[in-house]
Amino acid sequence: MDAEDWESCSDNEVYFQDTNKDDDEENYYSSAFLSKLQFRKDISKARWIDDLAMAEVVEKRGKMWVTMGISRSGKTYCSIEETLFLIEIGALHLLDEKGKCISLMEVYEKLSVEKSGCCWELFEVYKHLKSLGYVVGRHGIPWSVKSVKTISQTCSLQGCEEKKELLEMEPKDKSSIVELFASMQINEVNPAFDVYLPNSKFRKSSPGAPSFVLCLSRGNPPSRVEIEAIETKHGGIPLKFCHVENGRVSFFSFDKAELAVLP
Amino acid sequence: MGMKVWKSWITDLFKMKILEKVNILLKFIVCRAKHQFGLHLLHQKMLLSCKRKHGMHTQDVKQCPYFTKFSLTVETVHRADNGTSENAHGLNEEQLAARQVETIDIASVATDYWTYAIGSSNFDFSKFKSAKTGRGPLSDGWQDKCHPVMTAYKLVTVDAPYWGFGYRVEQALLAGERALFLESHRNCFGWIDEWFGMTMQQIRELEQKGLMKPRWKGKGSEAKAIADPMSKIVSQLQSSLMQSEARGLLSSCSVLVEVDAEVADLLNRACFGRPRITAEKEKQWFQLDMEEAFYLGFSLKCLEVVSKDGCTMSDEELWEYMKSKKEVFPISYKAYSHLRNKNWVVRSGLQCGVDLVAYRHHPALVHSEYAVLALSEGENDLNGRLSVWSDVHCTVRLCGSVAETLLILNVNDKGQGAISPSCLEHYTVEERTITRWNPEQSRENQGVLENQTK
Repeated sequence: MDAEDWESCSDNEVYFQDTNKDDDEENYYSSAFLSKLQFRKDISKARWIDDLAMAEVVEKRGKMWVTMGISRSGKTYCSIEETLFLIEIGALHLLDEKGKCISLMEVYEKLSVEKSGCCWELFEVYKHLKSLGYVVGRHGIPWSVKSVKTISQTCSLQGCEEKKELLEMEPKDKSSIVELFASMQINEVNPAFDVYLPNSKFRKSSPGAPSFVLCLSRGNPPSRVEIEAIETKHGGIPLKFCHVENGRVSFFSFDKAELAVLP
Repeated sequence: MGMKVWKSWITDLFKMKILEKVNILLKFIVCRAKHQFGLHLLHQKMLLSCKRKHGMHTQDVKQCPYFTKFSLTVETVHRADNGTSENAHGLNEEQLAARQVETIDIASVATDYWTYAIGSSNFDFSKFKSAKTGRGPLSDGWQDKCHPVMTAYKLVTVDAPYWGFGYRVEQALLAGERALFLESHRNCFGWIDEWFGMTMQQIRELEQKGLMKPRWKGKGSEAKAIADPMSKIVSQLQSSLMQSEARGLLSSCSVLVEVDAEVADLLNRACFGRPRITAEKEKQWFQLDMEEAFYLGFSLKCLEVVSKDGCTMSDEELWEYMKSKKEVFPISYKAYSHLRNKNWVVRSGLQCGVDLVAYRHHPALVHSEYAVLALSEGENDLNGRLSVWSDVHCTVRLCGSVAETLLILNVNDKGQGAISPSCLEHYTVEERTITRWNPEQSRENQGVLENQTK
């Protein structure tokens, strides 16, 4: 048996191609898939605060609070996408300001109104990444005040006004979080989430730089001009764009390349 | 399957001699070896993380199509303990009894048949010293002199329960795996200056961008390419064409050139045009695309193009003509020349649904690396490509099936317009890649590395 023969095995390479890159349509709809979702046994409680468009956590159960919710003045607040995610998996009971239970349908309704800085597509993206174990937070919102204090020293040299705003968390300042996204329009590409890799060592007090910043593109793919604008604003941190259609989330990188000059 | 089909399938199988079947099985091993080398960065990634934590890594090989009872599993545990673990995989007594232990020293220079089949990268560790880490050279007994010494405990379990040749196959496979481990880990150490200091994120990004080592076809291709750089071939072609005073005949969107054997050889090696098979013996005819012809004529100044009425066309006349045939010619030409000027080999990308395909060297030596789209700047891309998400999905997917990265060349005419070819030198080209990111994959790798052995 000649070794040369073995070199020309290109036809066999097809066996080793990664054929499972696409979503498996079958699995998606089968009951087997649905039964894999595990619902939590430890249920936390939170109170929805309309002014803030966030939920204040009243009772914490389970370990997910290490990577969810923002800390302000010793309390934890979670955004609508975090709240909805937890309710869907049965890990959270949501009450309104009078103590009455808020149903899942009501939360969906709140989301559809799009006044809490989030929309359905963003929620799908959040859920997709969170279910895979990534740590996802809203872009520009510090996880805790402690982390901001350390950043602000360097930030003030660059003049990050929005961070200074969020340092003192009075109720009127909390609403600025909502304002950051309330005016999101279709066809406008803006950074939505800071994403960190699944990491059991994540700490809200010192999260470090995110692995990448995720922008949602609702209408058409981002133009070069749009991409450059975002890149210059957040220089250094990798950027990814996601697109949601028919319930499927796709992620793309539009990175600058530097093609080598060959010899 | 119908009865007839079954019958013929079974008879075919029996017709194949045992030796042929074994040949297939062994081809499968070598293919896997090649595939594993394509994943050399995964190995590097593993070593990188295992400096910090103990990790378990399992690779299950897919079943060989003709041998369904066959299985091969490789499990790896990395420990920086210089091979002193007695039972790194936690095997039970029965497994320990069946186990055979072999020590593989990356500094060893022993070669066998399998090393030849897999190919070797020719590191000489008795002389090698890493610039970034100061490690090396690895002389005799280096394991006792260096600290720490990383050990990869590889547990290979193979089962080929076939009467007559099963045992031989198992032994051959183990020998193959041994050679594979030796080679891949030699590479890991030998390439240390390339990957040392990279973060996990950087390696992940590299993998996904497909900026790994180019996929050379077969052994010796890379060496051939290094020995014969494309820039040299193209400049030889240029002088050869000039000397022969070659003239191309314009015919619709093609330029036909009649050349002698020497020029024909250079055209082939530099990958310009397509040879036309004719009955003529002395000379050979080549067919060039508009971009190729314009590059040879305008950029390299080694080809004159003649129109159908026999007159030599000036650069401007040719430019006007080509623009009239293809509205986006200025953009597509700028993209073509941008890549050619960097000494990449550029061919039409029509079959892949893109404009151009770029190769690091001749397509016979290397697989294509980039599928290229040339887009014009500003709001109105003349062709309107990638203006909707379905386009992006489609194009990226097409590229993925041929393992290329999608490269976008954003050509900006800087307001110069396209009145004459001299406008071209003011055009700018910005390069961007579009790659799809799969959160399941990235996380999976991370998850594997995070696993703690209990």
